[in-house]
Amino acid sequence: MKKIITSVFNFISSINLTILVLSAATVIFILQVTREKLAPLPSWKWLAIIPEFDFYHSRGFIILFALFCANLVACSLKRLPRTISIYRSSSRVPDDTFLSSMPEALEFKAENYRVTKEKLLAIISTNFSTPYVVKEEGNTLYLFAEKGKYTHLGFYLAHICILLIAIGTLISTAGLQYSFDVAKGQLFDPLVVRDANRQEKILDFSLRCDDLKTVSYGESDKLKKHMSTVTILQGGAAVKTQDLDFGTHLTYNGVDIYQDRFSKTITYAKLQVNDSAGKQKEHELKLGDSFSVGDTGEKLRLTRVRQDSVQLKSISSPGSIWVSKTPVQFTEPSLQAYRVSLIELLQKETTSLKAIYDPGQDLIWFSFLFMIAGFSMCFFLSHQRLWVKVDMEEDGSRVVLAGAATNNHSALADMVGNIKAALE
Amino acid sequence: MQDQNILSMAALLYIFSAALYFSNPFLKVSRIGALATLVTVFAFLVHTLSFLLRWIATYRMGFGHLHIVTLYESLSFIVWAIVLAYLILEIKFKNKIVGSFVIPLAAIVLIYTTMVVPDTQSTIAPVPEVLHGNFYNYHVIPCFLGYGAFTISFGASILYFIKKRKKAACSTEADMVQLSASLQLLNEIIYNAIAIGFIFFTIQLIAGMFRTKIIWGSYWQWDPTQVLGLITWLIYSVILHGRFTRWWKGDMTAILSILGFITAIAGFLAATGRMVTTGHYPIL
Repeated sequence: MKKIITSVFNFISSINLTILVLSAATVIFILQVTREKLAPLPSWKWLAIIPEFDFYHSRGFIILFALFCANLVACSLKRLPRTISIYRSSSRVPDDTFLSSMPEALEFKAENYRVTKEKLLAIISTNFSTPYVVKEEGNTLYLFAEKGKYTHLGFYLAHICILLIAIGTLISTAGLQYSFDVAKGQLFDPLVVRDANRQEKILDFSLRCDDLKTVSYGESDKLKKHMSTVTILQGGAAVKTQDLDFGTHLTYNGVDIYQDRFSKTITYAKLQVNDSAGKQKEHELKLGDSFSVGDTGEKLRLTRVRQDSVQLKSISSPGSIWVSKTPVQFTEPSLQAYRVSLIELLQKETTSLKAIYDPGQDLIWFSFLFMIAGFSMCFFLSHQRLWVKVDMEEDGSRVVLAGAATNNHSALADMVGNIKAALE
Repeated sequence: MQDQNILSMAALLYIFSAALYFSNPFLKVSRIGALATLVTVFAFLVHTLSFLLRWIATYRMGFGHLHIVTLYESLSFIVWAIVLAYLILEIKFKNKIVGSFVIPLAAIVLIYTTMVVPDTQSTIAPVPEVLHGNFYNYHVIPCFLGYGAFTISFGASILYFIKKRKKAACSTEADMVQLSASLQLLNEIIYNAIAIGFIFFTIQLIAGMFRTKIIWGSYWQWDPTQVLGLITWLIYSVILHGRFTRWWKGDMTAILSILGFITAIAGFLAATGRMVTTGHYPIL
């Protein structure tokens, strides 16, 4: 049983699986893109022999992605003991077999023991890093020096951050993004948005559009950008005002408000609802907007606009009415105490804003930065280690230099060669 | 426009340095190689000057953005990135071997840019609103820098196969040893170029994800341009991981490097709207 688990773990943690998963993803994506985009073209119709498929939203994709994540985790865990032993090797007294197994190993005769020791300490400090004496016993000296010890962390950083980015995008799906039109002077009190499932969410602040304009380049009529001045209100008091354009957003309570690219003139219907007690309430709606009728809990939506009348449809029942300047009574029994009339139709300049709440954004952003740092450490930094053994001999000393590097082996070889040349 | 005149001068200089790089391996005169590098550096500085002049011109016209929007500007920047990547790798490896392929390629692309790309795309125009802010510069600049590095790896891969064929045909041991060293060097150049390009390409992928989130509402839309970018990233990931396996050979690196470059080009064509329909905002 243990053998099976070990075999499975070795397979999941192997670099061959990494190559297999990445290659499989590459081939499948190439097939899908070519099938989707090139097969419809007259000269590429032969690509239709590939059956249509949607790998992106299939179980196969989930399995491949899960395998990729498992591989990332397993290879990181597998490498951990080796990384720890590398760090521990600095205090270890190396035997001759170990020294000769190093990629850069040189053995040669040098001057007397004391002089060689002093020279070695000076040369290695100057050319490499400060060495320390691992052991000095009788006629034998062991030195160790290293550089770039923490570059091994780059591997873990890069891999863990890829996983965190994937987790961050999953977390982001719990957020929301909602575009809404707003007219100059319009107040959303409170701001109500919809999530991905079209469920309404009431935010804990209000938003008012104080101004909106289109900005041109200099004196020309070339459009530069749409700009809005937006104020956030809390408890009726303005807490933040900012100019927004497509590249500048406002953040409040974790919600980002972005300026979208559009502006348009929209027809708003100003309606008046009277109840039997003579209480009046006005509503300003554009197509698609809804309002509650008194305390009835019934909601009506503006569905059509004509030159002098508008249609209101009940959200909960199939009923609808046309409303003009003459007050009209609702037909639903629950609404018969109310009458509605159209006061006027207004043309308003509106712009489009976007409210985005992305709970995974910070995780993705920081993971991305650390991932780049991890890649840079993996590719461009090197953990270089140098062991030195000096044996006193009758006519001088015998020196063994042994070096190992994770990257840039030629630089280490040059450095070892230079130390040898300086001592001989 | 002043910047366009300067750019065409840079193109001519690149042609001259391309001729020098191309003849260098055959003539084997060290001064030609040094002259090639010198001319390339000078051409690069002239090219950079054309960018600066264009940038200043955009401010004078009231637009004031880093202009990498039209096909003209994009191709010019890609060539600049290719030459920059090449010069860095030439300094690092102290070898001009890849220059004989890459610099002529850069020269051809710049000649195309200055002679064939229509005037409507070479005149300075306002940057469309959708390209304001939202990580646009963080997306496009690393993308093109990545393309520059990938072009170096592509050039080195082509040369790798040429050298390999020569090695198979050569008879003397000295030549074989020399060619083996060349192949190893080319492999190192391919790897280093891919490593640099991979980091830039990752930055552009993530910055692109942030842009997509703002504009379309989710980090990933499975748009063809995005998918082609991901395919390119995956291919280079395979190369970077493959080097750590025992069975991975230099040939595999070179083949996949060429394939990665082809998908990178496909991604660029998709982004310009010239290959497939895409929701990605097209390079004009």
